[in-house]
Amino acid sequence: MNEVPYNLLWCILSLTLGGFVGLAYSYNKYVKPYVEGNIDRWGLISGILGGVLFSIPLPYNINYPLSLFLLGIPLGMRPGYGRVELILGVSIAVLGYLIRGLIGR
Amino acid sequence: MELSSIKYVIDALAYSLYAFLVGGLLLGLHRKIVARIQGRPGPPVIQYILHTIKFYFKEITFPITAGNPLYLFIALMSIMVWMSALYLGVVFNTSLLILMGLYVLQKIVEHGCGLSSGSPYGKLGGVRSVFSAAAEIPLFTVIGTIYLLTKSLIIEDIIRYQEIHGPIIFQLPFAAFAFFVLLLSKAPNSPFAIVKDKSIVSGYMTEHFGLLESLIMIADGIAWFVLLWIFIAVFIGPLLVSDPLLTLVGMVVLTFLISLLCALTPLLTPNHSVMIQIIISVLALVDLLRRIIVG
Amino acid sequence: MTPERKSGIVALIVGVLGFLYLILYSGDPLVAYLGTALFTPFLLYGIGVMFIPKSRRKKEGLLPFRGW
Repeated sequence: MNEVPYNLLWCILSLTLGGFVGLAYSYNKYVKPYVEGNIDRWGLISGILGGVLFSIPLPYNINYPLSLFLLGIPLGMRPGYGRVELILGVSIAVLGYLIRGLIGR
Repeated sequence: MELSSIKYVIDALAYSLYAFLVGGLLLGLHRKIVARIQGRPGPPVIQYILHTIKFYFKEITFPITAGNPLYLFIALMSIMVWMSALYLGVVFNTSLLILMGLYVLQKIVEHGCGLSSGSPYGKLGGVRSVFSAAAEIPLFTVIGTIYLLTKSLIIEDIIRYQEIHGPIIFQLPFAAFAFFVLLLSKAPNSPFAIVKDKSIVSGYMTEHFGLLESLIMIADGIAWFVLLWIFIAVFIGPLLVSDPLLTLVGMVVLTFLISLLCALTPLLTPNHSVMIQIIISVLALVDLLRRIIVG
Repeated sequence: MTPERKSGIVALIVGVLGFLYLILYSGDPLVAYLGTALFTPFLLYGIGVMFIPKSRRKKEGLLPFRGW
């Protein structure tokens, strides 16, 4: 009998919730349907913060759900928006994860 | 009153929530990738889950032509089928034959869904779902081939076999291909998705709107998770299944491959789709017979 | 009461009774899991029907045109 992967459940749940928040936020802020090369300030902040937070160990592994919530905000933004922010955040997260793996923690 | 039974119920609910969220996100990713390949921006990745939640709060009415209680019950049955498949397959690792039976029940769901609604589009979708039962003949032969190799159909035993002998996908590549075609036929916009062809509006789901559609979409999300998990467990084995995170990575890769195929291939007409599936199943059958005779 | 609401209440009763049975009497994990699979949809449908807003149509439950 397989155990429920609760840690992954929290991560995915917070990613989805972050996506909802991001979608609601970007639909309220922007009117144009599809714009390329636009960078949203709050999306950028949440993306970078999420990327940085991903590899900072906190008690109960709470950093993963928190960082995925913040990364979910640019992920869920309406089509065309939040692209650069998401790529930046995810690359910071991957980089941090690799560095943490190299250090050995 | 036992605490353990409460824990079991909560675990079961949590697992199905997890499966739905993962399946929903993967189906959203599928839509996004298809859109990007076709040069459209595409909806956000959370769109599938968003739709499910949106439809959950919409009004339903029973159409005059609908045959109740089948019209209503079939949507509930859809969730029952895939939640049972989730628990029997993913949680308890029981027999592949039970999962196969549940997959056949899914055909009953599609058929009943279309026919109980009384709409011509729904009926056409239901009839096409019977055609596309041709996709299940490869499943029979795949199960037969796997039994010949591992001498067991219990998923746990199959995983243990692969611990010793390595992934089955290298030993039975054709069986893996036939199962992959089954996965492909379940994906939206795939060449074999004649059941949900846009030329018949939404196929069997045409008359199931609002709340009932949301229930069917929940079931479809769980179904996507379960089918991908079975493919990974049976053909790739403990390499990925032992860690849920690695399983997720495998699912994303598989969804990516399927999305590429879906975006790059045209949708076949029903007769061509059924012919191709029958050709694949005949080849799989020949493979099975060869293995039986040669030994 | 519309037929939709009636069916929702029946489904809710079935779901709640089923879950009560599971929590109170089932000890076997397999029974608990499969019972959850059996009764969750009833509960989902029953709760969902309770969210349906009041209809503004004259005749409740009847869509204007259904061909064939």
